[in-house]
Amino acid sequence: MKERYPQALNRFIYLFLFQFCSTLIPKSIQKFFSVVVGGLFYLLMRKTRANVRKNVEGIGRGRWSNGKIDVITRRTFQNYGQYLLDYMVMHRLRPSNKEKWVEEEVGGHYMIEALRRGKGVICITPHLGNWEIGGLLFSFRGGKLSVLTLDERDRNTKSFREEMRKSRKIKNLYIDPKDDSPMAILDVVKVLRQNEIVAMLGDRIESQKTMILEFFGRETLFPIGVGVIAMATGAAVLPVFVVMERSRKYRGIIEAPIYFDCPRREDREATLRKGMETLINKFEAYIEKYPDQWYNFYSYWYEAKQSLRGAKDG
Amino acid sequence: MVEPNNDLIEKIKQLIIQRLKLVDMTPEMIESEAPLFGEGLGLDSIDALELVLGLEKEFGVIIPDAEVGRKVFQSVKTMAQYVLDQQARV
Repeated sequence: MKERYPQALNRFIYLFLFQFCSTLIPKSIQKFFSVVVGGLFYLLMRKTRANVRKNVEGIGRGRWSNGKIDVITRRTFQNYGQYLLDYMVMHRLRPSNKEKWVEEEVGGHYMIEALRRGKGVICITPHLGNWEIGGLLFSFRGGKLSVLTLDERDRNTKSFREEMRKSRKIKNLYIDPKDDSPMAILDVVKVLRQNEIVAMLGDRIESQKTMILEFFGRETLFPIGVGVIAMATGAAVLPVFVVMERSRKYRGIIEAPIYFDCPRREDREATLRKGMETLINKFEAYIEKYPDQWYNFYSYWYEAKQSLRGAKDG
Repeated sequence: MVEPNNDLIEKIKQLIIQRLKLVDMTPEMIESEAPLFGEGLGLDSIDALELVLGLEKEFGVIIPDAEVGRKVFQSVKTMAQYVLDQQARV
């Protein structure tokens, strides 16, 4: 699978650099740091900048001026800088100091409703805002959480992420994007059958399970693994979002559950489509509201178009 | 190694038809050694997970992980063999 993140943005050395700075710089002046460093990355990384710009154009669907698109593009780099700074010191987040980080949490009743069903819950979010914080917030409430993630190539980065999650009793479930076996998701199913929570990201194609759906008005080959797992297990799907507000604090939102129940075999595709369309509508609403926090540094629709062409050619 | 008998093979086929709601199929239409997924019976991921649950409920055997699952769900015959092996262990 093609490496989507520019290496410079996702390698351990940069995580280390941000950890170093986030430890030294007081939170009150971190905004300045993230604006300057993010701005620097914006200026230096021409190709990545062009990719993000194209993505922002896609979100705007032709309604935004060039000036607005440029501003959102630059802010995306700056906000990502803040995301990395927060990521590095997230281990300090505790229920007792939560208010320093989190402005508001809404929709908790949806989680209670979904867990009552007893078939597990899948929390799904796009690469928007700070999804890692969402995991910590669930763990504070005593939720048993596993994170479904791609295996990290870099050993140090993997170990850093694992340690951070392990300290909050969050389990990692790894997926191999090359493994197309129907058994690949068995570990996820086992967790859901114990009525636990599985968190996953759901806006990038990481496996062969896809469907052509409309995303921001464009035909897009979209990952449907979440729907497949939900249909097989009866788990509720909760769209969740953790976005940064103007105060530089986060807002955690849980949206209403989506169910993929399908008693008739012949209705599977229609049920999957309907459920995925509901989910995509939620993704679109939040990405459109927070376009400068959608962290995809490759050209999203260009790659989607390539995948779509590949799928159509068989 | 003891090979599964026809009774067990038949029960596995019934399980597949019932759990997966293959209303137009009969056990005779399912070849014991044909692949279950892809070009064989054409089952998908949802079917696979349904069969995992079916084996557990009907025969009390558990598929512990994906690796075992890949070996077990190759064909009706491999499923029956796994059931037989697990029952012999008890």
